[in-house]
Formats: sequence, structure tokens, C-alpha cells
Amino acid sequence: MQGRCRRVGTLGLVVSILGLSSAALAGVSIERSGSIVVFPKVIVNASADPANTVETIIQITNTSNSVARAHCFYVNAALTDPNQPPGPMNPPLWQEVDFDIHLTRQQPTYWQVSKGRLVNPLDPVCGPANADCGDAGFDPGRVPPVLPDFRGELKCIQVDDSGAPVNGNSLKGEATMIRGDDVSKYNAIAILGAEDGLNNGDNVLVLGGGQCAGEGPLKGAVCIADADCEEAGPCVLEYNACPQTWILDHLADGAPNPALEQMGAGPSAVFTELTIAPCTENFETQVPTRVTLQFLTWNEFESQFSVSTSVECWGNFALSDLGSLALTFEGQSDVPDLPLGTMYLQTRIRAAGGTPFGVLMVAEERHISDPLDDAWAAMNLHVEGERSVPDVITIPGEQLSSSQP
Amino acid sequence: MRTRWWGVSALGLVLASIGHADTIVSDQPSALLVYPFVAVERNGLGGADTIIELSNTSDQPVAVKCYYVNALGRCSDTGDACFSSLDCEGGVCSPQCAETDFTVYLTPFQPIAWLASKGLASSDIPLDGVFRRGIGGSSNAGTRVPAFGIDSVNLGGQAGIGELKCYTVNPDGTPAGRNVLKGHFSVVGSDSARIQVGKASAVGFRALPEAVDGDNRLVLGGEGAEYDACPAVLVLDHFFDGATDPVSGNAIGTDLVLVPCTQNFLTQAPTRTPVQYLVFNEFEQRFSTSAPVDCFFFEGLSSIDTPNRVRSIFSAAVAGTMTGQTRIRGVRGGLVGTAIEFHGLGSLAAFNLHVAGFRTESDVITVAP
Repeated sequence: MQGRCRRVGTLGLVVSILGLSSAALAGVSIERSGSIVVFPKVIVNASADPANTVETIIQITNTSNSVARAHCFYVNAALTDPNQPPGPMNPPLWQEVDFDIHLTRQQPTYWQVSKGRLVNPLDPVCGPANADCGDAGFDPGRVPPVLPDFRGELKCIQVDDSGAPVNGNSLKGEATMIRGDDVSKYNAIAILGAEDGLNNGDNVLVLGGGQCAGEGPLKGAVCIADADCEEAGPCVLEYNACPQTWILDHLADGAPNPALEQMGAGPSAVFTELTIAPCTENFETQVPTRVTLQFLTWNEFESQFSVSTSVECWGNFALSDLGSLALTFEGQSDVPDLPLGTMYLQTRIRAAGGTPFGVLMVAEERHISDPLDDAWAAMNLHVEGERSVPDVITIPGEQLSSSQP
Repeated sequence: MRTRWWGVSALGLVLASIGHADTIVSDQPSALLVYPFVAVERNGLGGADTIIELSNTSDQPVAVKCYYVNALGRCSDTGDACFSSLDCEGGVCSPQCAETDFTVYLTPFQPIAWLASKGLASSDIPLDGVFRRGIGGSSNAGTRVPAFGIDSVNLGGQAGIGELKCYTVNPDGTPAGRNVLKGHFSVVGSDSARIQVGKASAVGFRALPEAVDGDNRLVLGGEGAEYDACPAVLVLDHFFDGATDPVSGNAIGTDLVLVPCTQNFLTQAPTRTPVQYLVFNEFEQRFSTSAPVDCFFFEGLSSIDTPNRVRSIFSAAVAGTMTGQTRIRGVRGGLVGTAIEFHGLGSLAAFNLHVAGFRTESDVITVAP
């Protein structure tokens, strides 16, 4: 099933800004299994030049001793014509493709994003005389290939046998980006089912809150505490909240890599690319929303700078593309062409006060060595606090049925 | 030229319960950080090095006490320094566990970083307290970071491999338990043809509220806990060694790094714990093996259970599938770690391990009073 993915415009739901009084939520994690796993950066670029190709390998594992199923969404944010610059006549696709996977207990699986994975019980297994065994193992289900030049995210939501979302906290994952011979890797971001929460299994997934479970006018409304539901309480929590603040330590864009310089592999330069996916997504109404992000940066001299930008549906940009010299190595200098040497920065990123949506993100550093080639290194960011306003993922209701054996 | 300590995987490549918030976090500011992998191999141009990044996420200055543990080994026959037994003429490389400690002072929201091979001299610190001070007069004065490793003739230059632990302290040097530290480490290598970079987060232990008593025993979990507990199980998703990268066609290998949670920097006695490995392939078939860990463990996966790597349960030819899940449990103590994945000889990626559950028994880091 395909559809145009847009983000929800307004919550339009009764949400009180009461803080998380009744919801002691642990937030998201890069090292625990969760009920929703998000791969914010999935890129495929089939270039004729092998050195410029980009491919992503997805690894997902069931860490529980029970069968786990998941409903997954690719969101393609590639330009309509990837060969032309972005503009009103060449908008991003924002196209969503979904599929289901099925993992036996403790089963790991993987697939190459450009090819997906077929269901074929006769796949040859790996052996001393057979290295051509890419699809060996229990097939997790039919994983569709993505379009060439795919740029976007992958979200997988744990569901039960009937296809209804559950708080199983059984899924973990990693994404491996391969560019020519270079490789970089990050952990998927796991959103845990709320502790003591009971997922109601409907198509509205509430992150950092729940839904009113009782009878009354507010039945099914998004809530974060029983008081939000009035007579329709209790408020049954579903998933942990998205982070309030993301913290990124990074080299100022364009700064040299000190290790490469010392090894004689200079001149070198490092650029950091940030990839952002929204916590709130509506795969049903496909209403687009922009998220405004505030960046607050400190350098090693404790000097502080700020910049902001907006992201629609999915964003991927180098920090220096934000238009602030403060995020560049060049901008750290008091005197032109004489950098003071404060190469390292700490940047805190949060959704602006007027933006009722959280975001998830990963970073990837590009290390350029002039005499040699490039190397990329993906990294997960740190987080601080949890959003006091829930984020909501809405799935078309008809997708909540099992399509796998 | 591939560095020796990465050769652990290269050899193989040629041959073919829900976690609670009270165990480690690698994505939240913490009071105690463990950088599980620090390596230096400088032999003229090229080699390998590690960039350590450490940041203060609070609006108040913080002092940080750090311990390097250099687990570079000694050959049993010649006494020469060694990364592995491949560096010895016939003897066995026995890891040493040499500790070096130092203090770093961070001003509010300050990021700082250093190259493991160089450290930070007083002339390198950003806010020296004399000519430069931060807002409110705070500075990095007093910060000194020694270079990591030793000069080794037989290894061709400066060499070291091990871990780094850092925790917040009060002005008098006692543990402070402030959850304001975050860190990353970047493994950087280069040879005449290419560069390699992998980056992962330091493992964080959060101090429990009002629990840190300021003595020289840092109690992780269990009775009298001052900090988060060590995880009960580490979970590693990996390609089996020797699996073919479906994109590049290169052979894939994974090196595993493990560090014990319990350490005694006072007596310098290594903590040995058996480690149980439970391995699942994509057919849900299970294998298991075990091997001990002393003060530091760094091995290619397919070297854990056998010296003949093609016969290892971590070998794709034995496991039968491309990927696996390995669950790692310390028997007599907790563990933290990281993984470094190699695709051919040209590229690497570092990433954090997942965790499941937490240990109910305490692990203790004993520092100098």
C-alpha cells in the first residue's frame, strides 16, 4: 500500500500542558529494545560511478523469546526529479510505502534497502563453499525494494498477531551506510512502550502520553494524565515521549581532523551532516507540518551562538548549510585566516516553543583527506529531558491487520 | 598498511526482559563515563589514533577525574610490548593493566577533546585561567591530559590499547555524582591508500539521587548503589565473520571490546570474569561459547571460541546465515563494551552495544582515596 506521507498539522486533541505528572517516562534509547524503532537516515543512490553509490543495510532483531511482528513504513523524501535542484516545481516526494515483517524468537534479520528481501524458503545457506548466501535464514516477510535515489526514514512498529500495535519492547536495529568501500553505522532509535502502559491497539500511537480509555465525550482523546480525560478516564499511556533536547558534540564544519593531520594524511576537513525525522507523523490524513528547530551552540571558549531552521517531514543537511558561520571552523576565528583553535562545539537542538512536535535525529561525519579518500562515521546523539506535549503517529486503520503468516 | 591491533579481524577476513532506566545509558548525560576503546599505534606516518571528546552539559563548571587503563600486553618470551600474540616471536601476549589518572576541569557547556596519542598540555587548554576565562571566571586551569600508550621499539613507536573512565568529582577530589558528562570516541586510521574513521558514544552511568557518598568506592547497582547498575546482558547484532558485504563484496568482520565494570585502581589487581556468549542465527538456531575477560578484552568474534576462525561459531560458514544476535553475560561481574565492524581492509564502523536488564549485584570501581 502506498500513499503520500505528510505530517499532522495540528493535534486537534485535548492535551493539557500539565507536565508529565503521571507519566514517569524514560524517553527513547539507542541501546534498548523498543516497541517502535526508527532509522532516521536511509539513503540509496545508485550512481554509475561505484565510488559515488550509497546503499543502506537495515538490521532488525527480535530480542524476546516470543515471536515478534512489526509494521514498517519507508518515507521517501527524495526530490521528484533527483537530478534537478529543489524548488516549487521539484518538491520532495514525501511518499510512504509500508510492509510487515515477522521474526521468530531472538531472530536477527537484515536486508539491503535497494533490493529489499524476497520470501524464498529455498535460499542457499552460507557454508565453506558458499559465500553467496545473502538471503539465508528465515525470511522476515516480503520487504519491498525502494525507489532509486531514496532518501528518507524507516519506522517499524511492533504489532501483535492481529496487526494491532503492542508494547512488546522486543525490537532493536542498526543501519549501515555503505559508500563505495566506506562504511558507517548507527543504532536505530527505539521508542519504548510506556512502563506500566497498556497499548489500546488502535491506529493512533501516542508518544509521551496515551488515550482516554473510559466512556464519555473524551473517550479516545490524547492525554497525558487522568485529569485530561475528565469522566472518560483513566488515561492509558502508550509509548515513551520524544526527547526535549538533542545534544551534539561535533567539530566545527571544515575543521581539520587532528588525528589525520598527525598521521600525515592532511590537509583534512570534517563536516557533520544532521538527519532529522519527526516524531509526529500522520500516514492517514497526510497533513504536512513544518518543525522549527532551535540550535544553541557553545565552543571551547564558552562562547554561545544560536541559529534556527525549519524541517518539513524529513531533513538532511550539513551544519554549515544552516547559514551560520558560528558552526564553521572559519567562524571560530577572531582574525580572518587565523583560527583560534577551538575546533570542538557542543550544539543543543530542540523544537521551537511554538512547534508542537518532537524530532528524532542522527549525525554522520564526513572526514575528507585531501591526499587520500573520504571516510564517513555515523553517530547517535545524546538526549536530555522529555517532551511534555505528546507526539502522535497515525496509521491508516485498514493497515492494522496481519498480512504475514 | 593495516594496523596490528585491527589485524584481529583482518586475519579472519582473509580466511574467509526489558532494560530499565537504571542501567547504563549511552545517550544521556551521566556522572561516570566509560570509553571502552582507546587505541594508539604510531609508527611514522599512518597508524591509528583515538579522538576523545568530553563535554559538560550543565551551566556550572565541573571537575572530572579520569583513569586510562593501558592493556597493551607483554610477550611471555621476550618481554616485548604486544597487541596480540602475533607480535611475539612464539610466546603468548599477556595483557598488562597499567593505570594512569588525571583531572580535567570543564567550564559550563564546554566541549573539549584531545588526541589520545598527544593528550592535552597546559598550553593546549582553551581557557587557561590567565589570559582567557569563561563566563563567571571559570577556566580549565589545572587540566593536564597525558599521552596514552608507551614508546615501544618492537612495535615501531608509540603504542597503547585499553579504556578510559571519567567521573565527576568535587573540588576536593571526592566523587560528586553530577549527571552532566557526555562523551564520544573516534577511532581513526590511515595508511598510504585510505583513511578509516569510526565513532561511538561513551557508556554512561548515572549517579542515583543523593546516593554518592564521596568515598573511594564507586558502587554500581546492587546494595548501596551510588550509580546505575551494569547491564545484565549485552546484546550485539552482527554480521558473522567472513560474511560477504552484499554491496561492496568485501568480507565483513567484527571486533568485540569488553571492559569489566568492577575495577580496583588502588590494588591494580585485574578482575577476571568468565563471559558467556549465546549466539542466534537467522534460523533461530542457538550456539554458545565462553571465554574469560581480565581488565580488557579485544578480539575478533571468530577468535573468541577457537584459534581456527573458519571453524568458529561466529563464522558465516558455520552459522549458515549472514547475521546473528549474540547475547553476552559476565558471570562474576558486569561488562560494558563496544563493537567495531570491518568491511574488507579499507573501512570500519564503531557502534554501541544494546543492553537487556540490569545486574542486581553490585560492581565496584575502587579509586585512590
